[in-house]
Amino acid sequence: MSDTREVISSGNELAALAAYDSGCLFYGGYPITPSSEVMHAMTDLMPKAGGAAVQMEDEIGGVAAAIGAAMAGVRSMTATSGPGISLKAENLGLAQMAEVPLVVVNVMRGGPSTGLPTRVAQGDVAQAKNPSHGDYKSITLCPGTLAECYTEVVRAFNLADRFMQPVFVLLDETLGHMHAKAIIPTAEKVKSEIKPRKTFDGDPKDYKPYGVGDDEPAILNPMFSGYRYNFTGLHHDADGFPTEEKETCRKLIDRLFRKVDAHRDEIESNEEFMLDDAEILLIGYGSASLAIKEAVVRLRDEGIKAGLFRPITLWPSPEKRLYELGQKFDKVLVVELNQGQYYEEIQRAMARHNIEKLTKTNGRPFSPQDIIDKVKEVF
Amino acid sequence: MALRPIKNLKEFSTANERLEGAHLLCPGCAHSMIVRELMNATDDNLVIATNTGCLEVSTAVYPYTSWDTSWIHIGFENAASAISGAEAMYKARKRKGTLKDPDAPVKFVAFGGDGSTYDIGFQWLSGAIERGHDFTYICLDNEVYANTGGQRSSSTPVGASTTTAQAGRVSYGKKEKKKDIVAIMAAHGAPYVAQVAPNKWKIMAKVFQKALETEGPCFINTVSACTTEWKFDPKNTIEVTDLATDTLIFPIYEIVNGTELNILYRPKKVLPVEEYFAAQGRFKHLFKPENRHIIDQIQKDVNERWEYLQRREEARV
Repeated sequence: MSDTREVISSGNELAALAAYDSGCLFYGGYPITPSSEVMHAMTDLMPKAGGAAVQMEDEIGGVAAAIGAAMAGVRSMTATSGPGISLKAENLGLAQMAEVPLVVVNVMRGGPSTGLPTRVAQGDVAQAKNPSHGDYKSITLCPGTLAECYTEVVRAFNLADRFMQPVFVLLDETLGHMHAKAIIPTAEKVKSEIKPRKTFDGDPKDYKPYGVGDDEPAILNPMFSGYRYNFTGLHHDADGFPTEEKETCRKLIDRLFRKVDAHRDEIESNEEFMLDDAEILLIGYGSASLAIKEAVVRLRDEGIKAGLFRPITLWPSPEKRLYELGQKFDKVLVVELNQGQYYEEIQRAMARHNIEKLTKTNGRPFSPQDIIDKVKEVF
Repeated sequence: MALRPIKNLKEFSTANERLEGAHLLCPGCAHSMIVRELMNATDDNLVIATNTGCLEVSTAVYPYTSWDTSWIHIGFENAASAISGAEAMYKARKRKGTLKDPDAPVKFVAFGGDGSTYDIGFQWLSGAIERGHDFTYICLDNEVYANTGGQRSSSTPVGASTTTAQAGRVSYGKKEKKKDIVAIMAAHGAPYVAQVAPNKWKIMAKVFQKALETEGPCFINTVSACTTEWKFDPKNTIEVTDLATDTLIFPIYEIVNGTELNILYRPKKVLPVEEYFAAQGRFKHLFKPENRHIIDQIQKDVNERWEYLQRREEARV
């Protein structure tokens, strides 16, 4: 029997279906364009799964309810757009600090502020790295195709449970509202690959939720299972109780970084498109990569050997691979729907400044011709 | 309180429009009727803040604007906060004598839909009323998130079908009761609180005028029939609103200083609530036999509510 199926759907609906197939049982959210279809679909799917979808009174309530449900032990999700992330920021910081697994879908639109509610942008890439105050290491995935709106949400749930922290999935207005055929894994396949979060099943007296190795995530047993611990956004010790003891505080934040940094190989995901014999390196992600691929093919028709490197995990960035590519290619062009938020990360990772960029912030997607023209202009 | 005389119909219809008609609100939307009437009810300078919502997205589409006033579009939840800041600074500058024309009359007004008033902006409105800024807050209550695809709000009434509280085989739509926002605002001790509807335009204009003339925070809930989400023919906005007020689903009344309740409109003939429901697609499932009891329950609630309002009017407490 085939492991895949063909569906006709939109990015937003596929994100919801992926949550359902991944065993998500809770959705907390609030209406916001262009992500509302995720909530519409979840209000239908969650009761069918025996879970609940709750429309809260605002964005803050949406993420806080999702945190509560995650603490209760179930897979939990919220979806919104950039202005919603801005409001949720405080609670996203709490979820990082207290190590709550959560999937946060952001269907990006033009910003800042209310911006361009019905138009596309990739302006929340920097925000996803550090949405709130304080130090922690974000995990952010960025689908570039309709099918990935499904598969990356599936991956996000597994990563959230693995690393015990919120995982962002950055869709954008183009992908969220794109309606077409997609080939996605079957629900059975997804279910068979679910990796639930670790639990502790020893004597409740010995349970230390945050007393783990220095590169390991917390082990938070679900509520109502006989294990008791303290939950807080304050610096805390192995039991979860607040502390200001300097070594404990240092170790806690070090661990929040190390649990991600030491396991980058489990998180990193990239696509390399026609890169082997390329002379010009294009870098782009998300919906912009659709136009870049088309541009690569058309440039090659004209004898210009271009190729695409597409990070699917944006944070942590694929810095090793970027460095290698930076050494190999003289001609590098970064294409993104913002003023260069990821461009700066690529400059850092490649340790060089002579990188070209093509940016757009008027709410319109790139056309392949935009990219072809830019390549001919700068190289 | 001595009110300046209200404009008559002729004066209303011949006065300069303060909200230009060339906006992008849906045909039949009651928002523009309400906003227009508020603005035309006064010749004073207006400073207006508007929460994100249908009104905001439709009245200022680049490069055009419908507003002849100072106009602040703020986030989804903060019109009451922004107008608080504007009003506080106006007062401070007036005290300092740094205003160009200190005697020019200025009124501060904030608009929000029910989503931004009953839900996301609730805390900010509550704070502004408690602090006692001199402003009038108008809620354009269409009982749904009309700007983002018709999701339920805490103003959506029992039995209405929305995209996140859908009627179907197992559900009759929204199950939770609509918040009584008028009572909540009156309980803040606001000097003037009212609920009005655009079909009774003279009452509405009088109430707006009273709110603008009252010193301190005033809250007006306005019934704004939504042709798109309530699902009725755009030409029937006023007819549907007539049914809302004549079935007493939306009683029209004011509360002065938190205690003195006055009913401002008594229907000559009170209609059964099902006439109101029958006029709108969002309630059509209520007429299935298995949902009839919902209509009966709502009728009972409406009767009790009307009885309560009349008793409060009489008791003056």
